[in-house]
Amino acid sequence: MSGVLFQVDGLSKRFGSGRRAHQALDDVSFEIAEGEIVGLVGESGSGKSTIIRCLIGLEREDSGSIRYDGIDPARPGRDELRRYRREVQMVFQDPYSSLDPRMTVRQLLEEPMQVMGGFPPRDRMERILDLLHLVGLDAEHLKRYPRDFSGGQRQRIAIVRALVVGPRVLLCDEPVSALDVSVQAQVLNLLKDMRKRLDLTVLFVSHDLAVVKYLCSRVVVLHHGRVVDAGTVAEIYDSPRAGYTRALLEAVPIPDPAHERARRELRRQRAEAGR
Amino acid sequence: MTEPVLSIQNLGVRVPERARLGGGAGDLTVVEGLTLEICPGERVALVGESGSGKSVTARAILQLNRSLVYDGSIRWEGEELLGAGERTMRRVRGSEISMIFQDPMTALNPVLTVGQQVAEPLIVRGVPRREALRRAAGMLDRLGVPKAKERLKAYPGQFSGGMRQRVVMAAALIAEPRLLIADEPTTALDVRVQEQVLDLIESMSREMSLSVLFITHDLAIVAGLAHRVAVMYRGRLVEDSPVDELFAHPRHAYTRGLIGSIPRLDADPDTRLRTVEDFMAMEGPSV
Repeated sequence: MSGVLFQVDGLSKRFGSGRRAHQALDDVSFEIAEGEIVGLVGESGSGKSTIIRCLIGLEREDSGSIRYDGIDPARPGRDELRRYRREVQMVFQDPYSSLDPRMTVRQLLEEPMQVMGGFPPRDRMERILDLLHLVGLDAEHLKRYPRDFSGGQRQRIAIVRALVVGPRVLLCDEPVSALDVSVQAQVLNLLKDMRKRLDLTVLFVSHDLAVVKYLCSRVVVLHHGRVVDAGTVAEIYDSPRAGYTRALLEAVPIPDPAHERARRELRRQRAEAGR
Repeated sequence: MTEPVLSIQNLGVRVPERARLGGGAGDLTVVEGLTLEICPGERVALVGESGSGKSVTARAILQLNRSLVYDGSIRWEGEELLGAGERTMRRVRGSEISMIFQDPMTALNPVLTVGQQVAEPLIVRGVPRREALRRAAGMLDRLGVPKAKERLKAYPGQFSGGMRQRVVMAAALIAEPRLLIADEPTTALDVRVQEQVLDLIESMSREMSLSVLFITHDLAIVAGLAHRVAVMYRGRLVEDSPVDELFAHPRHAYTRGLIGSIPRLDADPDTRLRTVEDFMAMEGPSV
């Protein structure tokens, strides 16, 4: 097992104050080891997006700490912040709003390298083309604008934009939930290939337990800002400890009509017995 | 054999040249030669990817987009809806055929109370206000909204996403329509809430002998809900089968792709997801 890359320890975050205060995160701890894909699972309001926002420095935690390979992202040294921002990249949920509509694909993909520095102009195009080929796009797409692409293609462009500066970690916030199932499959396969090929560590935030099972090696389950379950995929899916995890698992539809009808009948009987 | 309530024959939908958003010459065909029938109480899923024409077809039934060019026929209980006048459509919409949409946040008016919105379909049909509100509370209660009577005075912003979708359903069902068109009604919801909404659609359809046309890109969602599944690809219907048969023996490569691309809880994660492209490449793009 490789070393721990991310260490999140006792993270708490409250929004508002007094009676209207909302405890978004309550003593959240987990680790991400190098090379892992960790799934962060929860429903809306569970705090998963707040964790991501703390990790990339958009929110400051009230208490607790985040450590990335010796760096405290909240109080980094000068060179550390630069290294952190290069090594930890983000893929967002909505490929329709995460790409500037006025920039060409070429501009979108060059920009991160210009901002980060350290990428000689003559090498940039080579990096871009290598990655574009990996995701199934090519040089002729460079002159086009985001509007010329489908949702799945846009998300592939967003992934290349995250990868072009050579990160070690990808933070993915619901990257496939805005996509059709058939397109989602392409992007999931792509993320799986990329992780292997580029030796990435991934934090994958999702509300979809079937997607997480397909992609991840370890899972952290969040409910009302707390970690209610955590373990390997086998532990979480075969013997979930928390009732909440079981409830989430039971609600995932399976593409099998007889099975689904039987489950609905069971729910109906349970509801009637409960009355 | 029962007579279908809805009979779509050879439907074609085109975007005329002047209405094409991206420019481009000539009319753009978005639906072609589509034939689909729905019997009383039958739940039919219309499945396909974005751009396949499924929503355009649903909206054609209610004639919601007058700038498109239609041909073929859409008969509702024997009456032709294509080219029907506004008077006919006003009668059909809401009281005979209702529609619910993907996003319960935008389907409701934020400055009207929940009671006003659920009761509206009755009030516009001349039901006295007090009676309409009483029935609105009854419908909300039936759909599992707690303290329904008190919550008539609440605003949509005070409801969670799942509760809002129940409010939308209450407004859609209060005039006791005979067909409910549901366009991706659970896409914006968490899985547990999705399950509740699907259960509600199923039970209301049984209790009210309501026909349902359920539109989605995700076959897993309709596996336990639909009696029949119709699959659309690039504006055409490529398959129309009873649900068990469709999952057991999908006939079209595209359908196999849609099924193969669903990540399953009961599958080995090391098995690669098979995409639509994989299946189409194997069998050639014959439509």
